[in-house]
Amino acid sequence: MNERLRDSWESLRYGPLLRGASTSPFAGRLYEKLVAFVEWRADPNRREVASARITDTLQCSRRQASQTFRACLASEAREEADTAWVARGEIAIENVVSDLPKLPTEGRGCIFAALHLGSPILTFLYLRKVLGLPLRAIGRPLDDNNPLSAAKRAWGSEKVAWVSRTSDTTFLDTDARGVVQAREELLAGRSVYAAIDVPADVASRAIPLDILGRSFGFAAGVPRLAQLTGAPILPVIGVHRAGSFRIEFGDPISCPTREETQVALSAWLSATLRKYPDEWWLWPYAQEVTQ
Amino acid sequence: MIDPEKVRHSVAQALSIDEATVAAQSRLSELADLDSLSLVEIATALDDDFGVRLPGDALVDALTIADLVKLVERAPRR
Repeated sequence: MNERLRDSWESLRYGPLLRGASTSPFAGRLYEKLVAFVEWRADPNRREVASARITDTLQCSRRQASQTFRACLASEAREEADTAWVARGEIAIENVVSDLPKLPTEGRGCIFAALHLGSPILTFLYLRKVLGLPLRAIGRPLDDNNPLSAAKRAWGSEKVAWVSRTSDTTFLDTDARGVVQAREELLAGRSVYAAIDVPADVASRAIPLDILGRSFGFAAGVPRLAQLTGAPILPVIGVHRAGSFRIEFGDPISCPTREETQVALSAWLSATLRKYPDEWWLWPYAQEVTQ
Repeated sequence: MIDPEKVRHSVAQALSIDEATVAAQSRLSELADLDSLSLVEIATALDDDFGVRLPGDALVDALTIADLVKLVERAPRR
């Protein structure tokens, strides 16, 4: 798919198709299948690279790896469709979460570390709005420096605006002001919600994490902020389930040193990838660190 | 009264740079390649070294070492 075609496809995907997907769970599933099919076909090179990585990391057959990659594409599309459906307002967020496990901590003064897996935005919304946790999300601004396509950024901005309204909180940017504000939140005993699987190549600092024996570079912001503030990292994911999603927490990770944080995060990421290889939709594009 | 030398020392430590390159009128942006975490690193170092809690809003507006000295002087003690 050339650049022009890609722009047209993304305008269609994040425009009329996603609006259609928001009308019902059934429409959402159609969207998920269509998007996974088109994305699968669109970029053979990306498909090959991702499948090879999945094969090598998970020690599975190339055929299984291809299916896993396709499932990752579907999972991302499902996240979009589910969010659009909930944003439409016909179902309350508490009604799409099943089996909420007990929070391992009080949820205060910690960094909830999410992944681009399952439904991270709906997970945030649930923690903030339904559980009432004093929580603010921090993420990369959706400005012109963001590498996402214009259509995807526009959808992202809509999503952020909706979540902000619904959760009665504003998102923090990952600029100096936003990070300083995140520190204020943590030192005041409130919490921060951030993705920790942002690829290193879009961050100013990287931290290598070992996932199933291979080293990947991720943005170092969350581990470093945890180390500086003394706030524990609380891993959290929202995994898709039939007609809903379930929230899972990892064990809290205290971060006295960079090395200890690396070991603990690596263990959690390895276990998560082993358990949900077809849901962690950003991982196939993670930046591998070669010696 | 806050010792400006001690502030210079804290900033140099936080940014892992040579203290001799840090002067009272040094602009923070010229000391090193600062990123979004650098200010938090500086704030944490100053908090720990002076037993204070630097306020975030004012911190973002601090441009020079001299600004930081004033901030530390006014910051609430822990």
